[in-house]
Amino acid sequence: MRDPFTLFYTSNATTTTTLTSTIAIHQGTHGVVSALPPSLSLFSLIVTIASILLCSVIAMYFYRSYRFSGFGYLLGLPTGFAILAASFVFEHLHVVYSYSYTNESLENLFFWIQLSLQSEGFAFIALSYMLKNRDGSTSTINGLLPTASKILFSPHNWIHSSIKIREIIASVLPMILISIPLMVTISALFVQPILNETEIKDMSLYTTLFDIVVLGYIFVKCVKPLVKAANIKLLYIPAAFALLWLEQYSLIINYFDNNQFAFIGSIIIRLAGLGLFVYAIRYAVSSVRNREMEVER
Amino acid sequence: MRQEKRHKLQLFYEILCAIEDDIDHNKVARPTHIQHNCRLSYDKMMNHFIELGHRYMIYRDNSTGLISITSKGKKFVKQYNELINLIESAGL
Repeated sequence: MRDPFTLFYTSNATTTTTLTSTIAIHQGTHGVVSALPPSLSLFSLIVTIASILLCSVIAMYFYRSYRFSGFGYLLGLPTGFAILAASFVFEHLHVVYSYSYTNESLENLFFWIQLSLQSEGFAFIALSYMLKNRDGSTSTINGLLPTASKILFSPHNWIHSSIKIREIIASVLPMILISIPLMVTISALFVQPILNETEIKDMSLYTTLFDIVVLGYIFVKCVKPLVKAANIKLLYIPAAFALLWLEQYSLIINYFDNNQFAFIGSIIIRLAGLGLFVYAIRYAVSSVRNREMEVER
Repeated sequence: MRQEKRHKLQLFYEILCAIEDDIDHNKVARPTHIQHNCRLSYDKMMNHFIELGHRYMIYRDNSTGLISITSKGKKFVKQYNELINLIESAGL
């Protein structure tokens, strides 16, 4: 039986660094690679632990909200942030193994898993925003529209075609959204089971573009109701999503430019985004407690 | 004007808030006051009272008909406020 890691065997051992390893210090040529510098290892570890902690806090708060309310659409957020937290583990492993010449296949494997999980995480978060008004907007509008089966099979109802098409798209879109990251990453294996660095870098570009689109969608859906309600105090979470969008944008710059500042900047922006998210949650929850204390006085 | 259909959680929250409010103002909570505040039919409100009683969120005195809120009910109100704040801040 073939070792699963051989799927990611890199054909060219002397190729330059991958996306996240632009801060690597390669010594000499022909595959002589230095060991991971302790400072970089420590930096990666601290960033990973901080990111996981922040994601866990966010996931915990939204999971508690889901448990309390039973609103199914809220489950997308904790799931998404839990998957994101898992992706950071693989990101750290990828950085660690990117310095190891002997384990280059593992490096690509971890990078592949990280890309898949990160996109899937953002897709799950977007799912919450996509499904939030599902009850009122898609199944029936004032009870006048036909059910999904009638839409598809009854020619008498085709007069409402535009509304019907919108309904069909709305019901299929969440499934497409969730399956895109998996399809993109798995299809790369079908095209060529032995992934080389160039292919995995290309895949990272596609997934990053997907993340940018998804985060843009989340930002718009998140900011709209707050602007409508003229609630500027609650704009922290849209700002946090904007920072996560900026992180992906920095990664795109890094892809084309191999700019180490863009990569380090993306990490800092990500931490700032997640930190702001946690602060926004604490602010939202503590404002209730403060109000209660004022009432008690 | 037609009122938007309320979720069960929201109804519980409104009933519990009405009870707290009535106790604050009149020292006691009467079903008629709560019915007026929550804009519910008497039958429906009684059904909700039974459910809230089963969940130990309110206590109903059968002899006087007066209602009081329990610590569990107060905790529910607090958690509901937190939930709404969280959902609103996330634009959900």
